[in-house]
Amino acid sequence: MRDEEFTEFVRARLAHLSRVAYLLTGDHHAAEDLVQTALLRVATRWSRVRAAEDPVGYVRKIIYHEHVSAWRRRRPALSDRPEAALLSVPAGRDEAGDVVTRLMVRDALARLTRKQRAVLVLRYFEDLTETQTAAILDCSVGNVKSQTYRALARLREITGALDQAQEVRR
Amino acid sequence: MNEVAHMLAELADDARSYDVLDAVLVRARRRARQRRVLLVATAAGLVVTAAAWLSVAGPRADRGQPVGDPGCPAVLAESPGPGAPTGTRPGAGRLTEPCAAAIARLSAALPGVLRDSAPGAALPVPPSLVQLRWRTALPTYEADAVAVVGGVRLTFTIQLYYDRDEPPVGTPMSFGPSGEPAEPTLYRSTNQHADGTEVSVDVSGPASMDELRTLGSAVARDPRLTLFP
Repeated sequence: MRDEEFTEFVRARLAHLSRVAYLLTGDHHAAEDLVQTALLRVATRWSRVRAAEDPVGYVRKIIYHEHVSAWRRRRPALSDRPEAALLSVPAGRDEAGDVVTRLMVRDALARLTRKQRAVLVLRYFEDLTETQTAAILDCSVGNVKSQTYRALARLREITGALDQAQEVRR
Repeated sequence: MNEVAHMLAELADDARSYDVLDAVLVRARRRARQRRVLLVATAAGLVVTAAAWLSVAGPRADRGQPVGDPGCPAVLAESPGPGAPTGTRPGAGRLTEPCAAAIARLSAALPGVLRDSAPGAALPVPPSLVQLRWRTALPTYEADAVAVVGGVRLTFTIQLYYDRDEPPVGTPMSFGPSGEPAEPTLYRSTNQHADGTEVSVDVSGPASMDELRTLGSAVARDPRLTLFP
């Protein structure tokens, strides 16, 4: 492995990978683990990654696959650890509305399946097409469509319920 | 949809840039080292396995394999059977060049070494050299020469030592029957020395194992017995 090239490659993309990992996991520790595991896989295949036509796509594929197949070493979901959600609210932000929205979104994402989360992040955060999403997740376009539909429906359902809960609390 | 994208983008702002690069590099180097060790260990294991296999398979190919067994590459020539023309070597086609040259030397020498004197006939017996088995490669050739003398298969183990300063010299190392005597007969082993003198060892009557061993010992012990001048 050529350390300099790899280091340069990672430094240029670490911020974005961290954001994706955080969206996929909803937890800083899990996101850090995911980034580290995915990058380790990239490092051990660096000659192949470097030679690939689209190294970024290759890395993206690794991180999503790592996330979807991570059920084997699943951490407790965010929804199982409410205190984690409170502790990880960024300091210095005083816009209550933003914080609540973030907590709601994160909670809602945490209740989706890993694949549904991956589909949502790929489609709406990375702004990829259904075909590109299907290629990364190694599934059919039809599967991406159905997963997206279910994920959005579930998201609406959960955020609706959270909205109501928030109203009741007020 | 835009709303979802907006929500995700906002949530992503909470992410930190995880500084995992150093840890990744350390772990990647460790893995590469482990993989190298594994590769070396695997290669070493393969070598040891191959060596062990050869050490078992090598001698097995040389010893006790039936004549003409296609699984026994050490069988270099086999008997054409009684009455076949002198010099016929059905198995000779499988010889490598250096082996063939050495066997030609052996074939030329052995008729002078071993003669069959069956009752009523005293014939040179080149065809009785039925089998040569090559054990080792240069610089020391070791071969089993199997000869049929009066219906009894005799096995010579011959070693050829090639030395830069010496002409090729052969010495009979051991001698023993590999089959039971078939018929009561007279055996005579004639060994020709480099200076042309001959030493004969005769065994009369029904040949027993002991008698054949005696014959073998006599051949082996005679200091003048040099097979190849």
